[in-house]
Amino acid sequence: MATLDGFPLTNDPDALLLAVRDTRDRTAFLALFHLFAPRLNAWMRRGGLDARQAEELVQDVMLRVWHRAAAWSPERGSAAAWMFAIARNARIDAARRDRYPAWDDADPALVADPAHRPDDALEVRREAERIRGALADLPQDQAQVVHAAYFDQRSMPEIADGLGLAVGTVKSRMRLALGRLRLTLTPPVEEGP
Amino acid sequence: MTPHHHPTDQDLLDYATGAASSGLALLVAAHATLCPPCRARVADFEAAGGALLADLPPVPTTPGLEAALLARLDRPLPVPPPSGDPAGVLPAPLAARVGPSRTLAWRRVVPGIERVDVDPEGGPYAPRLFRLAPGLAIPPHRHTGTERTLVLAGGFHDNVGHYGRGDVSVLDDVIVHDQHIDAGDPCLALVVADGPLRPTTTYGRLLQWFARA
Repeated sequence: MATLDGFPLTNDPDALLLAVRDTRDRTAFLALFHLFAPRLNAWMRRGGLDARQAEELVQDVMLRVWHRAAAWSPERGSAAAWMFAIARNARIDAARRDRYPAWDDADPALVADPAHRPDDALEVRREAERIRGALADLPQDQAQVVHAAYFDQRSMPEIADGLGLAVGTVKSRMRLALGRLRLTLTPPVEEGP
Repeated sequence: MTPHHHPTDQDLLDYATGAASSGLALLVAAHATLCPPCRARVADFEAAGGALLADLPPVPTTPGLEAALLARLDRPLPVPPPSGDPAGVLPAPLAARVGPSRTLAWRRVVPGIERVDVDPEGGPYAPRLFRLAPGLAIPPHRHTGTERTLVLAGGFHDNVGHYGRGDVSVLDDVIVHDQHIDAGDPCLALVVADGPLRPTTTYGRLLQWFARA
């Protein structure tokens, strides 16, 4: 059987996370762990953490996934996107000793999304695949700034500093990269009157 | 109603990647609570993050990690206290920092302007909540860095446009800013600055001294 790091390709992250959410399935959770722990570990190490800190955060992320799975729904985004956001928050929480601010679906102040549809889950999956393809096809110089933003959590001026480039150059590469992704992403929010 | 004025696309990207300062992250999360299109945009940037994460060359974890994790699964995580504002005025990420809107401890800066520090130990440019009296005119001033203002109640207009609940005003160091608070209700706003403001009048200089003291 075709495998991904020794695990069957049928181990689709979205299906696994649904099983964790709906039936508290530990086998599905372990499969998610085997799929994501080495990637989360790679991401934490790339962000400059040592082996011990990185593994502590990997554990922290996977615990949050287990306990907060009820908050995930496939209509809102892929399992990978949700876990990315959790990993980002865990990393910042550990560094700043504070909770990364995030909106809350149960907030009385939340303005609901009128465009939300029941068939969004399928659309989210297609989008995720398309985004993955678009990212893999980015030219090297654009991929470099996108990776610096996502893996190193750097803003444009910091990326420019790190690469020894003008801020304008980094901004235009990011704009080009996002422009390519924009084919598949929601257009930027327009300024109103 | 969906807001008309939004954070920049760069702000939303920085929020999604985690590059945003804690003040900017708070402002983006509070705005996104009120703005479905910006939530969708952040979700797209997070989808890109998810795709990048899933495609990273794996770095194996130590063999003991799985067992350590399994041993901890049955221990409940500390549950953060409910953070929403029952009155629905403050978005939850902000209420989590300052408490519900009814219990805010306002301090008068000058007549017509009151303030609450969101992060009392955050230094002179930490996020602040302001309550501005209806009809108040704030004298022209300029900012040395970028200042972002999220309106949470009431509204104001300036040389750029009108801002109501959910709208974000982004000012850089070029714009001379001349603010007029709407008549009727006080304007409640979250302000995140990354540089001191540069007043262009004596009253403005006084105001700056009080606002940052």
